[in-house]
Amino acid sequence: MDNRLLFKISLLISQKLTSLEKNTSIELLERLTKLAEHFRDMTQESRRIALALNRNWLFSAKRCRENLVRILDEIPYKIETIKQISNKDDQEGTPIVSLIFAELTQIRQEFSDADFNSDKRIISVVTKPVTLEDIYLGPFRIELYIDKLSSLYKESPYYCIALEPNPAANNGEVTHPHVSGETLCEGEGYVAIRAALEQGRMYDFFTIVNNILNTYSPDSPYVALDDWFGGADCYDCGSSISEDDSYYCGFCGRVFCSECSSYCRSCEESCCLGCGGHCPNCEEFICKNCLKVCQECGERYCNLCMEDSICETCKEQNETEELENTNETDGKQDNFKMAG
Amino acid sequence: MRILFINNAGTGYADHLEIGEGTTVEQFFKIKMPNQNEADYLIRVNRQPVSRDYIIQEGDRVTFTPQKIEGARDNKPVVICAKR
Repeated sequence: MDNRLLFKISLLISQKLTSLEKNTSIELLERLTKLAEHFRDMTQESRRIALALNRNWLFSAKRCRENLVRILDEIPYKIETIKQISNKDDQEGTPIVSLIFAELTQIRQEFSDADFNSDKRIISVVTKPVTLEDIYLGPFRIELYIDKLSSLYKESPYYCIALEPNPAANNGEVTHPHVSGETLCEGEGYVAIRAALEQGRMYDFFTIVNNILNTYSPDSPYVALDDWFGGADCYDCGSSISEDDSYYCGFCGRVFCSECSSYCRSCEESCCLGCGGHCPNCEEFICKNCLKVCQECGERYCNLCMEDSICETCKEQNETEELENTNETDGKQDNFKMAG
Repeated sequence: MRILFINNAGTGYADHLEIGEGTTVEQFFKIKMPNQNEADYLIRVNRQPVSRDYIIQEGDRVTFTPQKIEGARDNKPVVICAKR
């Protein structure tokens, strides 16, 4: 990046931050309007209470009172947010171009591969490789979209892209315990990041984001580092399993790997090997719900190999016996006839 | 003597402060960040790293940035994310 380009970027950032100031004022106005509407609701509710009392509608008065309490409860929150936005106006105005220029110069000196994409209007830097608790996550490219600075409080203007991604085994979108879908969850850094951007302190912004990427907060990660290589172990063989390879058995309520799991050929439900078995007739894997006991032989068969709670083998046997009995009976009948 | 102080550990907003002549960076850190360890912070004056005995000058911009800043799953502080 030569100085001319840096100056051009500085000018662009300054313009966007001026728009941000305007947008902040618009937001303040919107919130004030909402607060005024809130007070109007309060007045209406108090009129309703008066009306209810005049007509001796005590139950209605009670309902109105409850509504009024709800309205009153929201007022401190609304005032607080308005104060927050108003206080921003107490800070210094839009940073001057020379200050932003100095910041960009500092970025160029301290971050490797600092770059400006003139088409997309992006400033990007590459961090040193990040390793947290001995897990290598690789370097990240922090991309700041200059055009998004004007709507800083509505959407995140930057992304953190893993250059040598080593995502969590359970979720390919999580390339860092605090990065999901290239968006950083800033936690403690939320306010400081916005303040830095708002004041044109671009160097501070990249430093803060870099420091968040180099810090692990075990209390609130997308995926804990302990579970980085697989959130669960197969209940049967104990091997670590990824989200794509984990199968839940609805019968025992446990998670298994693909090797220790199958699906029922009858109902098609996922089922672990322990909660199902092979039908002795067709030899297909069947869950325990679809395996039925044959009333004749007591063996377990799948639905498809059973008819009227009798397995095919027993059925055939019965039919043969029946046929034989019929023949015998026919013989007896003949005998009877003959005797008669 | 008036300086600009930015504490990125807090709200990150810049404050103009009056400090005594001859105050070193180390002394200033102890005043502003009691019970904190200097090693946990990136301390800069006018964007440049300085030694602990650097004497702060009129108009200097002093920045303290924590080396460790905890991210979180929840992106915004409660008061901001709880838009109604």
